[in-house]
Amino acid sequence: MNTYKSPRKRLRPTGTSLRKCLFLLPMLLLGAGALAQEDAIGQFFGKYLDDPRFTVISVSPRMFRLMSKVRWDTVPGDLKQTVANLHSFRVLSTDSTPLRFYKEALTLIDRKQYEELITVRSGGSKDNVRFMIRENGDKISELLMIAADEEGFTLMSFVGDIDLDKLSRLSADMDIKGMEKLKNYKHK
Amino acid sequence: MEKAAVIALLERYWQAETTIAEEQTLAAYFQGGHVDPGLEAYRDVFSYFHEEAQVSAGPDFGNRILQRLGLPLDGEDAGAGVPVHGQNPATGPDASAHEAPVVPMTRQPFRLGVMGAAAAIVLIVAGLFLLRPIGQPTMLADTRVTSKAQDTPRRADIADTYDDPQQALAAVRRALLVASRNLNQGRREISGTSK
Repeated sequence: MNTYKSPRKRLRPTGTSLRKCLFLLPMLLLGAGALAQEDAIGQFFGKYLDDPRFTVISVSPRMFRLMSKVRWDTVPGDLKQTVANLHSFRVLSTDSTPLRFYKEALTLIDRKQYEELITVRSGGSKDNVRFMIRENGDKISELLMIAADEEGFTLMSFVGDIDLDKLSRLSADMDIKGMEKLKNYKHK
Repeated sequence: MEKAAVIALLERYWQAETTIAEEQTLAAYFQGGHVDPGLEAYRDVFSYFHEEAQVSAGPDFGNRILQRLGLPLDGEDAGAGVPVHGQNPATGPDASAHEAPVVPMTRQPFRLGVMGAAAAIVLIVAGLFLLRPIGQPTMLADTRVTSKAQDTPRRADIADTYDDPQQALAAVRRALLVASRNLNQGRREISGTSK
């Protein structure tokens, strides 16, 4: 009778392969999490996108693809290249309690993902512009501008492959006239 | 042995309550010539057990398996290709000497089953993650953010403000100029203070 028990012993040593699989599991989950990334506005300000106090302007990746079909002859080269490397664009702005939202933005944005690039503060603490970037390897994958003064709060996010030198050349070449009003970018 | 005693033993045998000695008694009884006609039906059962217990893998079972698997024979590892039994006379001709080579053979189907189950779990969980509304924070996100963003619906799909690419381009262009200008102002101020 004893002979009937022995086959069972042979079935046992299987633990190692199972353990290997369990190792793979969290790695896959991390991968899936990374795919679900989005811009800072979606991540931290999603709740304000439907808020009537805010104005939202967004340009989807699909629209960026469509843009490549419009007439580009009037568009300067640097601008053309910058736009071509963008993936999506979003602006969230409001004129109610701008400084409160500015403070909120600074606390909400995850500093592990977004690194501060430049902060401009003028006129006491009432006029602020802050640039933050998210990097993906050597490249800047998102540029975030947070601007606030007493009149308004603006959060602007460019997602794509961003070249800061090209970006700064865009306005350096241009006539500064009429640009004053653009510091706080508002819809129309 | 009394028929009643055998029946009692059988009863306990089916309940798996018999000792090994008792089982051997039962086996001996059914092997013997004097099986009660009323118990004739059980004789086949016990003779089957007896016959099957005689089956062994044979002396070169391990090597035959290795051959089928295309692996080097057992003796060759030790060198000179000497038959195993020549090298190791203590191990008798039964299959136990070759227990190790048999193992992969019986393991294979079972391991595939476990791998398959694990792969299925991985796929399901990964699928849940991917199909989950993307606006929800990932596991990596700050917990502070998690609690606040919980009630927001999905935000990853950016709704277009403009239907016309020309208008969208104009808006992006304006925004880029604003960003560019602010960036330059910031840089000017930084270079101004450092001088």
